[in-house]
This record gives sequence, C-alpha cells and structure tokens, in this order.
Amino acid sequence: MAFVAWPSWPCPDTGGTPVPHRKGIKENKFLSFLVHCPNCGNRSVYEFRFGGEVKQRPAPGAPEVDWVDYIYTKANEAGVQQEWWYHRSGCREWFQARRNTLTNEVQESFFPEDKL
Amino acid sequence: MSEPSDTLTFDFNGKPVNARAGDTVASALYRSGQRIFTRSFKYHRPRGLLCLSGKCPNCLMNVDGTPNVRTCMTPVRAGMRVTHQNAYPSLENDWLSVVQRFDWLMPVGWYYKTMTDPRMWHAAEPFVRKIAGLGTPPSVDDVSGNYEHCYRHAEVAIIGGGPAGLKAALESATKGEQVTLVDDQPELGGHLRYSKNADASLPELIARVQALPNIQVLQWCYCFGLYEGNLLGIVQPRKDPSDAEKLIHLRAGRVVVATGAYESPLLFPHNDLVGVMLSTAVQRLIRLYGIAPGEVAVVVARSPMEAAVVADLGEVGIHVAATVAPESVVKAVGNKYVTGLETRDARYNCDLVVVCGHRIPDAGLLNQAGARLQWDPKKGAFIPTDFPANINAVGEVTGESLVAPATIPPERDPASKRAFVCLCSDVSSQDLVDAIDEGFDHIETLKRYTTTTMGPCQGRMCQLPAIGVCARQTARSMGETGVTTARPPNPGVTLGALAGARHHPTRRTPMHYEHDESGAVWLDMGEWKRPCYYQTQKGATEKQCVVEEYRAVRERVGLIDVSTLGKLDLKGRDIGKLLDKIYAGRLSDLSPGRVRYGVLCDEAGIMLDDGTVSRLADNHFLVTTTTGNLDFVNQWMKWWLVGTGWDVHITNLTAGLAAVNLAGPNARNVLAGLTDCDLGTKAFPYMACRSAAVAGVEAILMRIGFVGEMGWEIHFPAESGPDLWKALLEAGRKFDIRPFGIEAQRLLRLEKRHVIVGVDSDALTNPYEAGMAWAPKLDKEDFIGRTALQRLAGKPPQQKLAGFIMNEEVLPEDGAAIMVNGQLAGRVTSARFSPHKQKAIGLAWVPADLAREGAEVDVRVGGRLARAKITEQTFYDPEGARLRR
Repeated sequence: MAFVAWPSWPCPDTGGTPVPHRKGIKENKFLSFLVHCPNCGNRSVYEFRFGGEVKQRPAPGAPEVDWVDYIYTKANEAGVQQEWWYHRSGCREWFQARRNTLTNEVQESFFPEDKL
Repeated sequence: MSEPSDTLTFDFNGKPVNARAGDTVASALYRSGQRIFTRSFKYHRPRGLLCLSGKCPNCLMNVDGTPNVRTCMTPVRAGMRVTHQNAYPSLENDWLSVVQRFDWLMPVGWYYKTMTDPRMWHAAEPFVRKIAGLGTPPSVDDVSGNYEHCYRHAEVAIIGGGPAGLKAALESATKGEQVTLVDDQPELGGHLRYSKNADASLPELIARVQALPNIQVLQWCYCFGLYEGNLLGIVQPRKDPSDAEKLIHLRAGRVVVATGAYESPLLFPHNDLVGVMLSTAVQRLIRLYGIAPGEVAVVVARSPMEAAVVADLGEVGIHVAATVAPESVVKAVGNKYVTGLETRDARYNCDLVVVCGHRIPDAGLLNQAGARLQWDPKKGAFIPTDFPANINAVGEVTGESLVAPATIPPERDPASKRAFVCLCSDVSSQDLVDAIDEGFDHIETLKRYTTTTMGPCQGRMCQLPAIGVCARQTARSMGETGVTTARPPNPGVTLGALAGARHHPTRRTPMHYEHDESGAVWLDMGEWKRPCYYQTQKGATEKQCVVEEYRAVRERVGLIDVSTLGKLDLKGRDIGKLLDKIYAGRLSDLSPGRVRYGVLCDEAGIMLDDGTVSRLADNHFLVTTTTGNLDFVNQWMKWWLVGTGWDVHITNLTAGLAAVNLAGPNARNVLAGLTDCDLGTKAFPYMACRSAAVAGVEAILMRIGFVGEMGWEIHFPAESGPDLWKALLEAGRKFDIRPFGIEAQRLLRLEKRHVIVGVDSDALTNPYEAGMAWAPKLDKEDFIGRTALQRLAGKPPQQKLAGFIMNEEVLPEDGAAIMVNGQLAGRVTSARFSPHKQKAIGLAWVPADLAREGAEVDVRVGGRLARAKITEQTFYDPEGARLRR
C-alpha cells in the first residue's frame, strides 16, 4: 500500500506519470490585464479594486454552517467566475464581471441591477 | 559612417576625450585608445568590447552618476562625465586582479560552502562587498526628479527597427493601423546598418516609414518586458542631463516582435581576453564608427559563410593571419590583451580574434509573453513557437535564415577554469562541470547554483554555452536540457525609471497655514498633514507643549482641526435602512437633531470603523468616518446598496467641509459670542446637532466629546476654514484658548478610555473584546455581522481590552509586551503619562480573566518588567458629568 502523505484528495490515477499542467494555465504571465468597466470601457486592472467572488448572502436565520461558508470559504474557481469589481480610479461604481481566472480574460461585465 | 572630424569632447576619468558626431561613448573611448572597459565581477579580469550591441556586460560604466550604463548603446554628448567601475586604482592596473590567483579558494557554490554560519558572513561581507560587484548606486540627491512615466496606446506595436520590423510597420500602416515602432539602436536599419551586403533599398525603406504619419518611431528606446494584455515596458534614456528618463507603458492591440538574432561567444580558454571580439562587433566598429580594431586578426568561424567578415577586415587594412574552425582552437594567448591564438595545428600571433559566434534568436520578449522555446537541430537554435493571441514574430527572431553549424556548443571538451561561460559573474565551464557533478544537473538548478545567466546580460551571452555544457555533461540533447525562464526586465532598468517621478500626494486641511503660523509640528497621517503639537515657544519640548495644550482643554478651552475626518453626506428616504444594515447599532430611530455613535463591523463581527451619525433632517444624515477609512466606508456603503433599490445618495464631503472641535469648560462662552444658536444644555444637550451660523459661516454644530470635556464639533464649508479658525481663536483669547494637536487629543481621549479603531483594535477585534458590548443591537432583524456577533455575545472572550495604571514612574511604549507569570500574555496598544492621575496610564490587551479591577500584570518597559494595575474605571470623569454641563 502506498504511503499517503496528505489527506486523500481525490487525485486522478496517472499510473506513475507526472500530472501535466492543467490545460489553459499560461506560464510567465504578469498581472497587467484590462478590465471592462460597463461605464468606462476597457481600463488597466490597476484602476480597479477587486471585490471578491459573487456570493449569495444567507438569510438572517440560516444555519451557522451556511454563514461560515459564506464568510470564510472561497470557491477559488480555476476557470470562469463571477466577481465584484469597483472602478476606484474611474466612475467609482461597483459592478460584476465574469473573468476566467486562468487567462484573466474578462468575458462580460455588467451592473447587477441590469440583470435583475 | 560618421564624418571624420572631432566635434565634441567629454570627460573620462577626469581626462578629456574627443568624439565624433554619431559616436557612442564606447566607440569614442575605443578610438581614443581605450581597450579595457571593465574589470570582471569576481576575478577582476580585464574585459574589452565584445558585442557592441548592448547585450554583454563588458562595457558597463558610470555615466553622469548613473551606474552600469551600457556605453556601447549610449550616444556621446559634449560634457558627459564617464567613470570606470569596480577597479582600483585604474582599469589598466587593478590591484584586485590578484583575486584570480586564488580562484582555487573559490569553487563553484562558494557562498553555500563557506558561509555556513551567520557570523562567517558578517565577517566576510564588508570585504566581499568591496572586492566584488558592479557600480555603486547614486545618492538620492543625484537622481531626484529625473524620471517620468508615460502611457501610450497603439493598434500595433513593433519591437525592432531592422528590415523585418520596418517591413512589418509599413504593412500595418498601409492598412491604416496606428503603429508604434520601438528600436533600441540610435538609428533604424538593424543589421543592415553595418553588414557588408547592405540592402540598397534600406534608405528608401526608412524614408517610407518616416514619411507615414501613422507610424510613430520610438528611437533609442528599449523594450524590457512584454506583460499580460500586451503591455510593453519601454525605457527611453535621457538624451541630456536636464531630460527625464522615461518609462513608457505601451498598451498595444497587437505586438509584432522583430528583435532579430544576436551573436553569443564561443567557449575556449581565455575567451574573455581583451581583443577577442564577436564578428558583429567588429563589423559595427568598422562600418558604423570607421575604426579598425587591430592590425593582425585570426577569424574563428564555423562555416565559410560566416567567414565573410574576412572581406570587411581587408577593407580597413587588417591582415587576416588565419581562419580557423572553433573545434581546433586550444586557447587564446595573452596576459591582458590577446597576443595570439593557439590551435591544435599551429600558433598564430595576432592582436584581434574575431569570433563568429552562435546566432541566437532574441526571443526573450516572446518567452515572457508565454511562447515556448523549442530546440531546432536543423537551425541550431531555440526557436520560439506557440505564440499567444495577438503576438507575432517576424524576421530573424523566428530563426528564418538560421542554418545549424557543423558543431553545436560546446566546441570541444569544455572543462577549463579560464573558459568563461558567464562573463557577468565569472563562471567558467569548469565551474559548470563541477556543479553538475555536485548534482545540480537541471538547467534551472544549475542556473541558481552557479548564477550563470543571472547577471546584467540576463543570459544573452551565456545561455546557449551553459545549456551546451549541461547537455554534454548529462548526455542529454539540447532540447531535453531546455532553456531557463526569461523574465523581465531584460535588459536591466534603473530603479529610478521604475519608481518614476517622486510624487507624494499631500493633503492639507483648509487651516494648514494658520497651523503653520502657530508653530505646528507636523505629523503625516496617510496623505494628510496634521499638527502633532504646537511649538509656541522656542526651545519648548514636545512634552511641555502637549501638557500645556492638555491643560488648556481640561481647565480653559482648546481648539483642534478635525477636517481630516471622513464626511459622508447621505440623502434619501431609505438612509435608515442602509445605516441599520451596515452599522451594529440602531440608527433608523435617531431623531432629527440628534447624534449617535456608530460601530461598523464586517460579517465576521470584526470592528472595521467607527464614527458619528448625525440626523440633520428626516431624509438627511451626516456620517463621519475615521481619517484613514473614508474610502473604505464609502465603498462599503455603495456595495451594500447595489441591487437594493433603496433611495440613498452618498456624497463625499470630506474635502468640501472643514471641521474643528472646540472643547473645554469655557467652550460655551467662546461659541456664544459667535452664534445666535442657544447653547444651553436644555436647548442643545449632549449628543445633539444643530445648523447655525457661526461667525457668519453656515455650520453644522454637534455636541460631542471625544476628549471628555464639554465641546462642539463644528462642520462648515472648507473655504471659510481660515476665517472661522481665526474667529474662534480671537473669541477665545479672553479665555486663554489654545489650539491643540493630535498628541494632546490622544492623551485626552485615553483618559476617557475612548478606543481608536485601528490603534487599540486590530484586524481580529470584535466589540465584545473591546469593551463595547453595548454597541451591537442584536435585537435588530438583520445587519452586517449579526450572526457572528450573536455567537460571540454568547461566548466569554479570551482576551479583553483593559485599562491599566502603572505602579511605578515608568512609561511603556505603545506595543510593549504584557507578561503574566513570565509568559507573553498581551500587548499595550496606547500608553501616555496622565497629568490627571499623575501616573502612566494606558489600554492593553490582556487575558480575559485578568481584565478585572485590581488585577496585576507585568509590562515590559525598557528591557525590564514593571507592575501595572488593571482598572475597569475610566481614568477621568467616569460619570461623564463634564460632557453634559
């Protein structure tokens, strides 16, 4: 039986061959991408404040475990996730964007009110 | 070729040197007879011109105070001051070159093998710093203000002004695209400027590029990095001393890399002697600067095609003694300057060895952008492939005309102590072989262990030879061995250029110059300047001034500028809903004309900020925040408003309103003379607010008491700041009013045990620990942090913020350790000498079981422990009677 060094993550059995890099992860990239602000258009990411993942706040009486999950757990999606952004050096508005965290490609950005 | 007339002079090591127009510093020095340009990093070996294209470390000098300038890339200018680096007393005779006799003492990985004890390094460091290294950094005064950042945009950015770059620029520009062409050389043309087979169409090509209005040429600007989103980092060096060195952030829709190929040296013993030059450098000297770099030359060439340089040599009267193949070279001969070349068959006397080295695609930028470098045995080079979207390459950088030579590096058995792979930090092929034997046989670990490819040349000269040695020693192919990762900046960038102009935004309150006249001693609080205290008499100490200001507030009346408070004006029907949601307390039931203290928590129940909330009218509130948290609170409110549909309009009035706090037993008497507002306790009780004119200025008055005395916080239009400040001081003159600063305010509030969020609290503090259990109103239906606070409320806290009084006459520093039974148990957050208690008092985090009246703890003061008594009492006026008078 193999020695398990760490709690058993659901790892794919690769038959001894090293796991290749996850597809899509680009190496040698340096953070300087553009974020599309619904008001101001494409602007340098340095003009924005990142507001974290978009999450649903539990109802006031929800079980504590839901609150712990809401406050402390991040999905940390390796792929497209919906995020809050604030255009600090621009129109000073909060908006949401769908960004691919592997490529930093911002696919869509919008004011949440417009989607309601 | 430049005109053969001396037109200007510059200064080299204190002596004048003549130069011609079109010269670089290096070419002018070479023409004047200078052959040694630098001494090497470790062994102080003499080094002369090698690449003449800004790719090698051999011509770094100090120019006008800037160290490590590539002199071969720096156009000469009259009056320049150039000095050598890392050699004493001179480049020609460097006493420290004795170091190379002791190379046996410094094997590869010397630092790791000898500096095994921190004391060893401390002992060795001063010597190592003196002996090894590059230039010395300039002093701060030398560089101030000479750097700028600028931001540009282009549809297409083309890197490289050679034939491929020029053609690409024309192609894009004729399609109507906005093109920016970046070229690091002083003139366009690339290798056609100096190669023998210069294309006759070049001048026409350049003329067409220059004629098109939608091509912008950034000449003599080098691109050091290609970042995500096609952002290029480009440095424009200064053309004269009054000029600024510019860092250009160029954002491009498409990037075309046309950086061409460069030449890197071959590996043989003494390959670093002065007079061993790359063939392209020789061609540059001859054709660009009209200099014959020797009399008798030996050419080391791998193919007859490369030996074409022989024709160039003949043109300027250099006799070619022989053309030899790299694998037959045994070593170069000479002490400082090369005097000959020894091959397996013969020995040639010469004063110039022309090395036709490896041709390497200059693909660093492409590699940074994410392209892979793949070994192509047919071309004998690492060729960039898999370009990211919107990045392309044209010309020699794609390896289009490269042909693999008969031999792939290294040319012969590599191990030699004097065959230098890395010129930047004196790493020989023997060092690499030793390192591989020691187990560092992966190219990346080899790089880190030996520091090869990590010097100023960033691997341009040494990468291919290093890979070659590694491949040969580990019996792997070049492709299997692979390349080291290219990272920006390459070439190097001055720190000044990265830092840019030194703009420190400074915010001054409207009364700034009044404070200055009163002798304010300034304190920086974020961007703000605030008076720490006022030095009213020359020679008065801080302590004397602060105590005097303290006395004025406690006994008479004082005035402090609190304009830096964040001030948010809220209007709308649903402000109550918003404030109830984001503040822990209840604010919706606040009556117009009343003020309430509010604490802001996050969802985890941690205190983020505090401030006052004043209801000016039914649908009009004024919220104050702490000085540093304004932006945060503003954004926090806006965030929680998103999607609610509530009618709330937030206006940041921080800069629009000035604010002062008038406090002390005589505050009412001072203010009464300036306003018609009834200030009596019945009409204007504690925690009330009113709108009224003060000295003719429309103002909002709030009766609050941060410092623990009767007082009014007055908010009024910023433009009236100086007038009202002066009017208040004038009205207070008969009561001996004093302006007071931050330090006195902190002492006054500490006596009242008022917590400053962020000073006495930290990123994990909840209201229950901070002794503010009254703040969260858990009976509210929902607010930010309610669930967490509810849980915290039901659990005894582990630590508490407690007041303490020192038993002895000592004052702990803010942050001093609290010890219980010799164990670290907490820390002091604020401590001051209290004139009221005549003892040092403070606030400290202590274990919850000790946060009770009369418990004793130890406080570390000046290296020893002093006893302190915990108190639950407020130090001054516990009943708050003075506030309500």
